[in-house]
Formats: sequence, structure tokens, C-alpha cells
Amino acid sequence: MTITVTPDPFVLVPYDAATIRSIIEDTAAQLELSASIDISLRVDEQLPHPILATNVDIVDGAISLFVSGGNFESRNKSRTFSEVHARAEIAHMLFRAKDRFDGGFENAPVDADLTLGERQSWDIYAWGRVARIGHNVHQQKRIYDFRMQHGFTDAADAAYERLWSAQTMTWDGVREICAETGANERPTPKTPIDLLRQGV
Amino acid sequence: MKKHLPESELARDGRFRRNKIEDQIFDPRNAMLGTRNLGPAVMAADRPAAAERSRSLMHGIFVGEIQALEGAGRTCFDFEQEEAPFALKLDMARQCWDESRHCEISVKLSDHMGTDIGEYGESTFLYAAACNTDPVMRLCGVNRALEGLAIDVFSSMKTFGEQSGDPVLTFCEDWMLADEVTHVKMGSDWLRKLTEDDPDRRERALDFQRTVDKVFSLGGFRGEQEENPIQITRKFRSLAGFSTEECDELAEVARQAMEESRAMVAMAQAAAAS
Repeated sequence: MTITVTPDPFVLVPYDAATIRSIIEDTAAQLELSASIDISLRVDEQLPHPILATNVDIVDGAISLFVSGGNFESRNKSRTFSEVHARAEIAHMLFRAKDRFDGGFENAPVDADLTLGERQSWDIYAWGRVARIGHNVHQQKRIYDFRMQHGFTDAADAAYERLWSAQTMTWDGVREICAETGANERPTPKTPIDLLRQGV
Repeated sequence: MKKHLPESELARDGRFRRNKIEDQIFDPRNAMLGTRNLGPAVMAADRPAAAERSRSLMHGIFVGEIQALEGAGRTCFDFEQEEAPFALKLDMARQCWDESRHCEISVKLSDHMGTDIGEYGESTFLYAAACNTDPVMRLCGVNRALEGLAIDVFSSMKTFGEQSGDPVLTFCEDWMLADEVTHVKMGSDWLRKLTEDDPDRRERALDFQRTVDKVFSLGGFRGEQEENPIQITRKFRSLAGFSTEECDELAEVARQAMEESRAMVAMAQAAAAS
């Protein structure tokens, strides 16, 4: 397994690529990702908290990850690396990568083609598992994010509970949930869902 | 009890961490961010990172409410009767009650949005504006400029709550907005009353307000164009005693702040390229 972190070195924030690589290595082992899969992570160090974003795609059989520098940043100390946040975010991204390989999401579109509702549903399924393996996940934040895309309704909250506690889930299951909450009827945003990854 | 308490002596428990203004100003990412497309400026559910951006903003408002309470409380105590009449202090006492309620509303709103108290850093520049030794300046800086900014923020966030279908956010913003209009009106009324016979003092106070308004337009954060996340709310400002000319002037100050910010980004980029 080759793990690549860019940039190396970081110039705008004092993050350490070797530390991030070692967190990816630990987490990949914890999630029992196949040792034959290469992983590359691009950290956009221009982006501060609260401008958060992650993207996960499989490119030529390897895992390609993108994250805003803000996702790894301490919430109350600017430009400071937070290992707690980094571990949780990396676990979240790798769970989604594993889903794409052989976890029921093999036929899911690339991240750029997901709707906000689909992405939120998948995120909650992943966050539930991240919490269960012992990482720091703020549940109330996650439900607020979910409600924003699925509605502030009892139906949305019930869907959230199902996703959070699911042991297994599929891409079709996510689509069903989006139909139930009405998220799939929302207008398509004018802004691309992976705008921050595009970096323009 | 000490009069004119400096911001460095504000009391906070261990949950709070103070941001240094210089860390924000000299963050090397600022220049890069100015060139990036970060999505629509106005808060909306389909804006990238909409939820976290709104949580961070509302936490900033929460600590602002604490400081507004501290500032209004200080105005009740810092001045003698000749400097600040009893009726002014009574208004400030009423504002303390409002700000306390806003703190409680903000705490409950934070619970709803998933924010812990003190999770994000606190900047104390609101309280700094309440440290002026002239009560008229203080009222202009805090009640007219900063509480005026609160009108713009609450109105924009109320619209965001309505658009994202969040009834809790919508109601919280609406209730706080109603009080802010009163606070700004207190500032406008007392400015006129206390400077009735002293046009120079009035002009100095309005100058101070312009300075605070410019600083808090934050290089395009507030304005009247689509690219400004927080919109200047003329309707509520007029209820709070702002004339049309004053609203026009504020819009111009905000526009200048945005232009200056753009120029600084261009300079930083040119410096980085050379």
C-alpha cells in the first residue's frame, strides 16, 4: 500500500504530512482495507475552518481523497492541526472509500455527481460507524447537517436514526431514503457539489 | 468595583478561548482565499459547508451577546450622572436584560445546531468598542454600529432559517432582531439628546461610528450586493432611527471596505508572485 499526502511540505499551515500519512495508515489497518490499495490524499491548505469539504473517489483502482485544511484544523485555534478531528475525518473518508470498493456502493456515482441529499445520507451512515469505532463524532452537528438537506421533520429524523445505526447499507438504500424524505425532489444547486475540490 | 474595565480583564470560564486579532489579520491563507470561488456568498442550504459556516457565525453572535451584556452593564456603572443621565442608564439596564435573554436563546440555538459553548474562538472587538470613555462614543460604536450590524446579521440569518426550513433558527433570529431594533433606536435617540448643543461632539461620535462600521463590514462580509453574505437591512434600520442618508452612507462605507479588501488581496498576490 502506498500512501501519498500532498502538499509535502505544507507552507500555509503548520501541518505535517508524515503525521497525516501515519494516521491514514493506522486507520486503513483498523478498517481492514486491502493492503494492495494505494491511497492519495490532497489537503487544500488554502481553505480554513469553517469552509469544510471532503471527497472520496476510486481512480484506476486507487483511493483518491480530497479534504479542506479546515477539516483538520482546531476549532478554536487558527492554523493549528487537530489530531482528534483529523483521525475522525480520515476514518470517515476511508469508510466511504471502502463502501465504494465492496460495501454496497459499488454502483454509486462519483462524488461530483451526488446530490446534497444523497451525500448527506451516505455521510451519516459513515459517521455512525466512525463513532462506533471510538472516534469523536458530534451527533447533534450531524443531525443538523442532515436536517438541512432532508428537512426539519420527524420523517427526516427517523431516516437519520436508521442511517446512523445501520450496520450495512447500500447505494439503493440511500436513494430510497432520499425519496422518503423528499430530498430527491429538491432543485439541483447551481453550485457544483465538489466546488471546493475544483479549487478555482 | 473597578471602572472602565479593559477587555483583557473580561471574566470567562475554561470553556472559552480568545482569538488574537493579529492571528486573523496575518493568516497567510487570506490572500489565497480572496481568489477562490467558495460558492454563493449569501447563506443558503446548498452553499458549500453551509451548516458549519452558520454554526461558526452563530457562535460569534453568541459571544457578541455576552460582550454586549458586559458593555451595557459597564455603561450603567462607568459614568457619573452628569456624563450619563439616569434615564440613559435605565435604558442600558433594560438592554442588559435583553442581552441576557439573547445569551440564553443563543445557548439553546447552539444546542439545536450542534455547537458547544466555547467550541470556536472568541474575538473581543465588540467589547473593545464599549471601552470608550465618552458615553456618546460608546453608544455610537456599540448601539448604532454594532447593534446595527446585529440587525443585518439576524435579518440575514432569519431568511436563511426560512429558506432551509429550520423553524428554531427562524424564531430565535426573529425574537432577537426585534430587540436589536430597540437597542439601535436607544443609541440614535441618546446620540441626538446628548449632543443637542454640541455639534462637534456629535460629529466625533458619528466619525467613531463610521470607523466601527467600516471595520465590521469586514471587507465585503456586509453590503447590499449579492456577493455580501450579510445584507444591510434598510427597513429595520429605518425603524431604529436611521435616515435614508445614513443607510446610504453605511452602504458606501461597506462598499469601500470591500474595495480595500480586494486591493489588499491583489497586493498580496502580486507580492507572492514576485
